[in-house]
Amino acid sequence: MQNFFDILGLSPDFALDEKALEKAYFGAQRKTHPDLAIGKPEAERVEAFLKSQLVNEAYETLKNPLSRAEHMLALQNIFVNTEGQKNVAPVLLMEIMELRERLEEAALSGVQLNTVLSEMKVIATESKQTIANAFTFKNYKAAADETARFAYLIKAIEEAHMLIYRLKAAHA
Amino acid sequence: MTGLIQIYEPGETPLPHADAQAVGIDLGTTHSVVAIASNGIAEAMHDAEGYAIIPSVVHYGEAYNTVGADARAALAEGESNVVGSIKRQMGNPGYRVEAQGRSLTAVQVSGDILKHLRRIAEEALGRPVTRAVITVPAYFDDAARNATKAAAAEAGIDVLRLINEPTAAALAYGLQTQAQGVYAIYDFGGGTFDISILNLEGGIFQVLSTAGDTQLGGDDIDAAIASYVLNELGMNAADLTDRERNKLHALARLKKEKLSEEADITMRWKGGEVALTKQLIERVSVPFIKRTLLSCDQALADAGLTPGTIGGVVLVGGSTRMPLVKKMVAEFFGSKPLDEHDPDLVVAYGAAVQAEALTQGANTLLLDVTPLSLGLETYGGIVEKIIYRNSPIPAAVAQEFTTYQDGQTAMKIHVLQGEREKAVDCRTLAEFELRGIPPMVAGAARINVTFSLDADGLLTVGAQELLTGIAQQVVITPASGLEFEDVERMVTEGNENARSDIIERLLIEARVEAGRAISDVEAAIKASGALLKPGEDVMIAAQIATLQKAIGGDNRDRIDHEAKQLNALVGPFAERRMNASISQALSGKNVDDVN
Repeated sequence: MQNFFDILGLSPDFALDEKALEKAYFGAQRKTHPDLAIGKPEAERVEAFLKSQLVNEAYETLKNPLSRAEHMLALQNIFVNTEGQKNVAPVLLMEIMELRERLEEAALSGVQLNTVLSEMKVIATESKQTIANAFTFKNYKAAADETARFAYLIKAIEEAHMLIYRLKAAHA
Repeated sequence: MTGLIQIYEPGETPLPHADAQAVGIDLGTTHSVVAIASNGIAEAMHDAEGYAIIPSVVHYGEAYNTVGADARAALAEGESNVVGSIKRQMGNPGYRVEAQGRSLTAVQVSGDILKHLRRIAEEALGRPVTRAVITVPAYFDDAARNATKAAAAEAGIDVLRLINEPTAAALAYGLQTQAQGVYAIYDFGGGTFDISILNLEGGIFQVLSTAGDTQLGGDDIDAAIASYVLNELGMNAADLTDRERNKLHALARLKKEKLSEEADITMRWKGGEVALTKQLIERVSVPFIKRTLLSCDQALADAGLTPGTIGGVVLVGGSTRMPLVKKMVAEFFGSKPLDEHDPDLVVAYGAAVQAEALTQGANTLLLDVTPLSLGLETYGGIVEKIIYRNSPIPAAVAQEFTTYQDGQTAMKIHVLQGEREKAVDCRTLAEFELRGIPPMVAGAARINVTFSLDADGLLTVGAQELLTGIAQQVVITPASGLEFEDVERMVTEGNENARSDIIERLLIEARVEAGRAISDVEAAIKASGALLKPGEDVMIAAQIATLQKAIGGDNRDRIDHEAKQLNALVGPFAERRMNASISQALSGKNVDDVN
């Protein structure tokens, strides 16, 4: 298992500072990007490609809080199933279904959709904080459970964005 | 960008280290520019007649070809053997244009334009020019990018890097102004629209997202004005000849440009007169500008940003000269657009700056993204995305697939580009077969598929069966006959149809998966029935009947549920069989021979 924090020279921390991540990423690309290997022998260009893509993968994974949580759990050999609907806790299932219903109702009026979206964003922010706390206390079981919930919230938010985009497109 | 435009006379070589330095080329739909940079400041090179902006038109003569202003004049006169707007055909392998009795590809015509640009640069610099950075629309797909590289090769130019046009504009703008922070590049040309969001920080130019509309440009506004005029005169567009239509559109364009300065104006056409006011032109233009803002919305959402967080909006492309465009963009982003540079030259400047950085070394580093998702066709004609749009490049992603039939020895790898859920709605980049997979039960083979996307945005796909190490690889080359305009259409449709697509996809997936499960189970029982325990067969047969009934209906949850029941029932038997299979495969025998 590749440790993406190591690749960027960062210490594993869910409450990652975005600016620090960006700085580490830019620094790593300044050393590895294929543009720096133009005109060099093939072996060096291949190596630049391999290193640079790995830096990109590490950055993309850590930038997004959901994939960051999944990666940190994977480093503990815990694999959160965020796709498909296997073994979903009944309470979570209820919450998701309610969210979905509200989204579908709101889709009929664009204004309400924005309200639901901002509410969901508040819930997602709280969920993110819960994950951060769980990692702080090395409570990986709690982190995994909340990450599964967070994944559903993110999915619902994406869906809301899509609905808003489609409403705008229909009016343009 | 005053002070930036310093033009070389032919034969003048003002730069140190000039012998090694590459040039920057903006190979545009309507016009092209070749430029060279020194210390991050770019300058356009003029042709013998003194033009820096070279019309992308080729006149194929009997003895020799002409490129540029004369060729465009010939095109406007309706002469034959003249080719313009060839960029729209890049990546379309079926396209041919007749000139002087020859059948030419888009790559050949573009190659002729590039040869001309190369000559301009060589005369201006007084030395051979063999290397260049060439710009392409952010929405150019894999085939169009490859075609651009091929055209450069025909012109004897080695492409150091293809860069996206809005990125190039950001590079030129950012280096000139030392801007820092998040900027939007709003590139509204004659035929296409591109929006890119970039993060500028200490010499790093990081593209956060890009979106666009390759079927939306100032030409659409000209056409709308023209049809208004015809309508007022009681004429029918269908009665116009091609030449008349070109003339009318050109006239409408002139009036549109004039109305940027004057309040009202009269347009004369075929003895009739139509009064055009500024308000009227604006009313006609609004829907088109609104569509550009829709792409801006998408790019912002992909970057996870809102309009208020953008530090500034850089305007690129001739259509941004319209006051209404500036006004609506300012309202959308809540800040005054940055328009103090020449929108026709800034892209070439960016290319030149990057060419300097790549050949002379510089503090500048460009981190770009791929504009379109890349994926594979899986069962039921569904696309599994491997690399998502707006992922930073270079990128390499590996994913494991498996066989879905017992004894399957080959696997089709169908590589697709686009945002839609179904393979038929995306663009095919390549199709090949991985052969020589050892025969095993379905699900036992492990096929590792890797997508490698280089810094030019060009893709290589490899497939390897992990048990045996059998591998195959393809470098993607122009393959299908779609125009690059289709690419943007695919993104737009992808968004608009996403919901119904997903619902349909889920049902199809459920049916396919369940159907497959049944045939797998039946085949397995037929082949290795000896491994069944007493009573297992009866229960399995009953569950298969229940599942088949569910497949006949439209209830996805029910199909999934019954399929799961079947899986659970078959589990222990499948495990016994899998263990036997793998040990047999490793010892070189077929599982079904030994049972």
